[in-house]
Amino acid sequence: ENVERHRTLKLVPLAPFRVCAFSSFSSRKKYTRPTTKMVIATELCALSEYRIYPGNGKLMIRRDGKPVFLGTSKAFSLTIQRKKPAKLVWTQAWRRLHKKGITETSLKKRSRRTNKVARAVVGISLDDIRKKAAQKPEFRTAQRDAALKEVKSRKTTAKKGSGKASGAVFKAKIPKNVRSAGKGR
Amino acid sequence: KVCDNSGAKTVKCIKVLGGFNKKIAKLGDIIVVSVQKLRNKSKITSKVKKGEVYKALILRTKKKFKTKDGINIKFQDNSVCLITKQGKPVSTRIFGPIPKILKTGKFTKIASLSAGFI
Repeated sequence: ENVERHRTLKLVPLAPFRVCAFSSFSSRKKYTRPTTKMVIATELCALSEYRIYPGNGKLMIRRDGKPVFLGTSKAFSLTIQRKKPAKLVWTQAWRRLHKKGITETSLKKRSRRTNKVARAVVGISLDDIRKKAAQKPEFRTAQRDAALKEVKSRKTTAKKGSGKASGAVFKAKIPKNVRSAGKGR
Repeated sequence: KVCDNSGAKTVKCIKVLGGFNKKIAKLGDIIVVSVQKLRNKSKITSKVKKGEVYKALILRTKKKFKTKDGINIKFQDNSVCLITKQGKPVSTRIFGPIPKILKTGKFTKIASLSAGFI
């Protein structure tokens, strides 16, 4: 809330308020006096934070000399009872604590964004990661296919070639009783 | 109560000055007063003795006091400052806040001794 602090009297020049007697009824204009504005210093109530206009309320001065402005007798009696404004539901202090009012929308709009940082892993350095990321997807799929083919070809040759070797290995390890079971595999 | 360093602690009102039938003295009035108690520390060095009669100026009251702005001021205690019969303050310091109205007029000397204004 804006609190006006200046104590000046603004005078606006008065406009003429008499209408010409011979003018017709339809064209008669209503002249209204422009109102004078007086800017008054208003205080805020210490308990409820409402504005105190001149002539209202009490100024309570504590022993240490600090002034406490209170707008109504309600606020006054509550301060004598040492009530805290944060616990009284109708005060502005409570509303601020429980976030009632305009501040709700401003809180929702903000959303956290996590920054992804590229890090080097044990197997690959940062440069290699970046290079791989820079490669085009078609290139990478082509690479993948080639690699797969290699692996397949390796597997087929390995099956033929090292079938006996693997069998021999098994024979050595497995005892004589279970030989037949191992062969059956 | 006395809120200056004259040595007196509490003080009793004998007479309210300012008219033949005046019964109530408000903030800013002068009253006649007799000293009841002295402050413990300054029993030897105080300027004032027990039972002496002085004039006093009322500085703070618990009762509401209305300024010309329209503000009702209310202090936490009733306190007073001792004055001689000529109108000069007995003490050299005044403790606590004082309302601004005592700045102008007769009591400028007393107001100049004070710590703060409200």
